[in-house]
Amino acid sequence: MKIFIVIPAFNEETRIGKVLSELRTRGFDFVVVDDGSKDKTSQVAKKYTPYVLRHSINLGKGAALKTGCLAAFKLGAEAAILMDSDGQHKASDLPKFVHALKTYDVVFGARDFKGTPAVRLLGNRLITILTSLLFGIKVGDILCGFKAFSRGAFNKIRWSSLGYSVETEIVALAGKNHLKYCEVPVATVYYDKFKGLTPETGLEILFDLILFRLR
Amino acid sequence: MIFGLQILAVVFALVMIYFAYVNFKRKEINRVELSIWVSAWGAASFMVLFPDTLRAFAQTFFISRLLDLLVLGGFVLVITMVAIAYVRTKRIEKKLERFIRQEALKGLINSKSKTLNSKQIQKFNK
Repeated sequence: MKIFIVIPAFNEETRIGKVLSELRTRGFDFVVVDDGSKDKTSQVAKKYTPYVLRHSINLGKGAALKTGCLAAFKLGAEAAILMDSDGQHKASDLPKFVHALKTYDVVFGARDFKGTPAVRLLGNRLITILTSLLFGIKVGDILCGFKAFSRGAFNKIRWSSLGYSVETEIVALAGKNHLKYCEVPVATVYYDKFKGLTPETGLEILFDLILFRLR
Repeated sequence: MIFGLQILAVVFALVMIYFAYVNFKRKEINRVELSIWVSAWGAASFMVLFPDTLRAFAQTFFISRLLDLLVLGGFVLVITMVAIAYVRTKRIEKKLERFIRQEALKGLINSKSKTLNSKQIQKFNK
């Protein structure tokens, strides 16, 4: 199975090199989408792969993931694994996704939440409960960005979210389309408490969840 | 008798008409839009200066006080404008996303493989 790793990146010049280097060592194909970074993220990524796309302005994680997936599937991928560019997700977990993709349409990563900041944990739990109530899909860690899906699944779950709501929209669409899914445990390390999800984006996700249901 | 608050409201309306005129001169709005804004602020000034003209209108809707009518009208107007602005922003956001993605995917062609052509990109970008 030809699998591409899709990596959205925004101002990650200091960390992305290590992530890409490890992926290359492990022999994975990957697409990097520089989402309008102000630093040298693109230049660093280009040292590791020819597949570096650049958004001229910052659109958000959802938009970057969509661009990356479109490119990956056009390049012949049969499945895509979404992974963060800051080293939060470990390349050592990738074989679990590869293995699960042989059986399932969608594979969700699930963190053990050790060391997760309390505010994030609370927000995560709230969104998880609400999603399972609204969409009838039980996923332990909805906001985990480490996930994978097949080409067929991608065609059914093409999301419209530009920002962080993409994580919940993917889960919601997987539930709506009755896709076969599973969860795999993944390790997570938080490097930067000011990046990623904030209480404001959490509220935005809650609002979007209701909109997804009404659609 | 004209009260201070009424004068203030009329001055505000005149300033807003001036801003509309400046925007028209800068070609940021067209003649029709200028007419709409001038009419809207003109009507607002008239209502402020001659509030009694609204009384019959208020009675039609069983609203006893003029102030209630103005507050209600203001709410309806603001909500409508917010809704229009939201829809327009979403529309622009979609167009921008599509354009930027198209440009980014062109970068993929230039970077290495010639597997994507612009027609395919447009198809995928839909």
